[in-house]
Amino acid sequence: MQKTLLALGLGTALSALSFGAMAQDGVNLVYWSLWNEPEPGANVMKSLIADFEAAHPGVTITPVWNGRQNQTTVRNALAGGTQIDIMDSDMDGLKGGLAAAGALLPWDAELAAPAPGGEAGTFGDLFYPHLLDMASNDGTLYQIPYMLYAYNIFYSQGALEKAGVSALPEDWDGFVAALEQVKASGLNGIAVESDIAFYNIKWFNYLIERVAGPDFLMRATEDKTGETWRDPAVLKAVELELDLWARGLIPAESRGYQWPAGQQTIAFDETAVELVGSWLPVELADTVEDDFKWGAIRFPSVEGGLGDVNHVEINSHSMAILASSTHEAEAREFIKFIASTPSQQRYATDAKIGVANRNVEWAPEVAAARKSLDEATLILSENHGIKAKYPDYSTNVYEALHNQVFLGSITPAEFVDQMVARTKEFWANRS
Amino acid sequence: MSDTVYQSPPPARRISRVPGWVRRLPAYFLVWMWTAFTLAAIAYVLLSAVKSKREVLRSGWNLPQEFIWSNFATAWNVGRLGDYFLNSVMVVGGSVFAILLVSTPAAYVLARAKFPGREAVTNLFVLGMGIPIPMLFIPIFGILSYLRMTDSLTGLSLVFIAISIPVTIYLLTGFFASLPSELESAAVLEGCNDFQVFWHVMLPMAMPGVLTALILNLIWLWNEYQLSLVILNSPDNRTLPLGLYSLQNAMQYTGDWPGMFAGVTIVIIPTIIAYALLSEKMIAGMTMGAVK
Amino acid sequence: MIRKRLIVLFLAPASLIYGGLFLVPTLSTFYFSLFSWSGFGEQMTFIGLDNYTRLFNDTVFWLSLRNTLAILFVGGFFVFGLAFLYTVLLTSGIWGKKFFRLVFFLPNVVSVVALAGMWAYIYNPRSGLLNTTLSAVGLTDVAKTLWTSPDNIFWAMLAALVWVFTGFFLILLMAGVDKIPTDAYEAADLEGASLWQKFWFITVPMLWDVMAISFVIWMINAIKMFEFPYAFGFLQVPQQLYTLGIYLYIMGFGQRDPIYQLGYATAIGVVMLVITFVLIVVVRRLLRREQLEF
Repeated sequence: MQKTLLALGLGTALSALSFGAMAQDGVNLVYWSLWNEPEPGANVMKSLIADFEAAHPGVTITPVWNGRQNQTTVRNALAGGTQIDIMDSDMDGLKGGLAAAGALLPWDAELAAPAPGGEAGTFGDLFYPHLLDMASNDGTLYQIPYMLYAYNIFYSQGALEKAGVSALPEDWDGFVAALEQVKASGLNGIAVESDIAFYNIKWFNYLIERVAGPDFLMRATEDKTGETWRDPAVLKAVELELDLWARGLIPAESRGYQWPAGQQTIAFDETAVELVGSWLPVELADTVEDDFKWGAIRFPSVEGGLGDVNHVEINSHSMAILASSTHEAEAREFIKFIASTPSQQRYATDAKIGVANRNVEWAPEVAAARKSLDEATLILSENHGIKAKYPDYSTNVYEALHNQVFLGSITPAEFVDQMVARTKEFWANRS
Repeated sequence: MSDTVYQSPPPARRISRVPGWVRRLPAYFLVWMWTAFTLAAIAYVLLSAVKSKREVLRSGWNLPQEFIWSNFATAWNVGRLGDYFLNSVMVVGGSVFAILLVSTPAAYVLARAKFPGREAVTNLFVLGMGIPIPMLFIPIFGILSYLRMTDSLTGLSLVFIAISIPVTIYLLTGFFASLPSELESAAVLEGCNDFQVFWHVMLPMAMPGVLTALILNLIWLWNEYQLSLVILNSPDNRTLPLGLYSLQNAMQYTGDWPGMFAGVTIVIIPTIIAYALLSEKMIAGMTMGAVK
Repeated sequence: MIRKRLIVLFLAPASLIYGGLFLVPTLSTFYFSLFSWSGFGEQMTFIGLDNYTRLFNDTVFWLSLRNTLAILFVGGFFVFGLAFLYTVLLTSGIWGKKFFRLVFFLPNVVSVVALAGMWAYIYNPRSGLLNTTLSAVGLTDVAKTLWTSPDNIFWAMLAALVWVFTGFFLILLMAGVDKIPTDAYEAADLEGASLWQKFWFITVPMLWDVMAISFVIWMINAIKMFEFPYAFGFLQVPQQLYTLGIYLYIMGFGQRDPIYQLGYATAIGVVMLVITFVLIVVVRRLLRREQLEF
């Protein structure tokens, strides 16, 4: 008996020793990434990892470059028991996915702590106002946003100059008139990709917001009878966007454009504008001429509408720590390092991507997007929150049906009828 | 099959005096239409691989102003295609060998032995051909992690073997069943035991069928990417289709379309050459299984 | 006589691997299909057959089913129509038969990802191979067609699919034709039979077995069709391209959206399985012949 106890004691001591030795040997954080390896975003991440490792002897980070469907890959790996400490993904995707499933560690206790790297203020102060609220699930924050993209109307300054348009107006009628001028000069007005429903939906998102206010979409989605979709505002928004086609401001052949055929016409100075997230200049960086100049305006206001030109829809990439991580402290340290101003500045400068840290200057290509965020009185999440809360409705019903009406496969009246029916169907199937 | 009686066609028009090659002109025309299209499509990929990023999107069939050969180097280095080629060779080679090793004996027994439940067992195997692969992502991942084989080429090979067994057994049972039984009986009369009959008599006769299975599995597994995508995670372990897939993703996000086409070229050129060299054997083998 | 010991020995390895890594996972999905389950952790709620009643009322499911059946029947019609046509042409004694056969089969050895990328460039409205070629030969009106517009994209994808699969079945059918004793054709030639008559009265009856196998292979592939239309959809697969396999993937894995309804997704898989088996039984009944019995 005594021997057994002794053996146990020894064993424990030994394992404690070896644990201590291991801690000294180092902690390895496994980070599964939404970046593809050759992307600028991944290159910056690599250099940041190197800096972090240099500053924290004993901590190493193993990145796994999975690309944008990272969360799905992570979920599969977790189901298989793979050890992952840190991952990143679309903010709304995480909200509806890993965060909702309780698989991530909360951050709320950290927000009041001092900012990393001796910066003034608290950690929470580093971020754009409201961003952290938007990232939270029922008041608990499970993710730290680090990349930030605004949906704006991006334009080629060269194309506008060629058409003699000095500035794009931020009201709908003025905007349409300016594009008419662009069209008259022989250029195309607006670039559209027919197959990417989640790009095209932004036209309707903004128009319905400008016409009926920022809460309309969620209200219509959550109306179990679907009847809210019969509100005249819906028809009005659809008719405004279809008017762009009718006027030829969106060239008819766009119905056949498969991404990235549409956006490329901007790089070739054939088209003036596109409604898209602020990643566009990065994607086209190697395709445009060296002297190409980007600009952006906020989505125009609609006269007499309940929305506001200062309401901006965004997309964000966030980092998160998995609840199963055994290196919580180091993982938090790393994410704080990524969110710190110097690291974020490197993203903005080297990769030309907008960032979630409000103290950072953005690259000239996306400076206008940053300005729209600075002036924004309301930041809206993807599809006004529907994507995170009802992802299957968002993809299968809302975006899919909208793409049909936007591309002229169904009439506006059919769109309304089908939205009513399919919303009803969605709620009936959900119960 | 050879004993099937075919009907004599009814007498028709007289043999025409037009020479054969003239009568075959429409055939040549139709065949060349298809062939030209396919070759043009491939040529288009090759042409796009040596253009600049701007040119590739605009110049269509025009020759590039300047041949950018460095696209190949970029794709090769960024895509690590050399490493992934080796991974693919290992996984596919190992899997195909193992598939035949386990399926051939099983198919033999299912085709030639008499035991209760034989048909049921055969059906159970063949049933697997209709199972949609996406359905299996989660349970397979669970089992592999239990075996500590997620994100490993061995784990992927095991899965490849499992999913290829149905079609292989389907082909081979058909093949074994079609072999004449005279030789088998003769061998038994000469004192061969059952294993010897299999090894010395039936297996050699079934070789064309085994070759068929080998080639079909080779083609399918060489290009497989759904399951690999779920099972493999670390960049070191990627197979060639996965490497190409992630290269394509990466190139899309950086607008490097020529780089993507260069990657595609690097992957398909060896495949096409190997195919051209092996095609006679391959087609002969492939068709022997299905066509008895 | 094959002894019991050998039977067991020969069947065991295949059964073990197949059972453990294929059959058991499949059976477990039947079980999963009775649950509401996100795939994260263990939170599974038993909901009985609710997933199946929901499928019945799900517009997108019916759309995916319709697309899958369109691939199966319309695609199958063209695949086999063209494969037969070219079998006849290529075995009519033209020169370079082996070369042509090689080219026809070529798409089958190229990665699907590469093929999809290539077709996107073929269909591009302005700079694509198709429209530039069409306008070059003077068909300027046809060259204005938007092959990948929402009304056409499914058929555009299907055409590409037919291009791939025709070569595959062509090889099978041609090999069957090569097996037909040449004296059959010689006799027919002596009697002055036309190409068509030879095809109908000699080729088809003697190809029966090959056809049966080809149909079964096509059905299985058509119903679980996933990779090609998926790759054809690039960033986001348009709903016009949804097949049952893609819808299963979207509901279970969501591409970039956090849909993650694994229970529901597996129910789609079960339906696919059932359709496959019903069709296999039907086709094998219809084409039954003694030789077909494996």
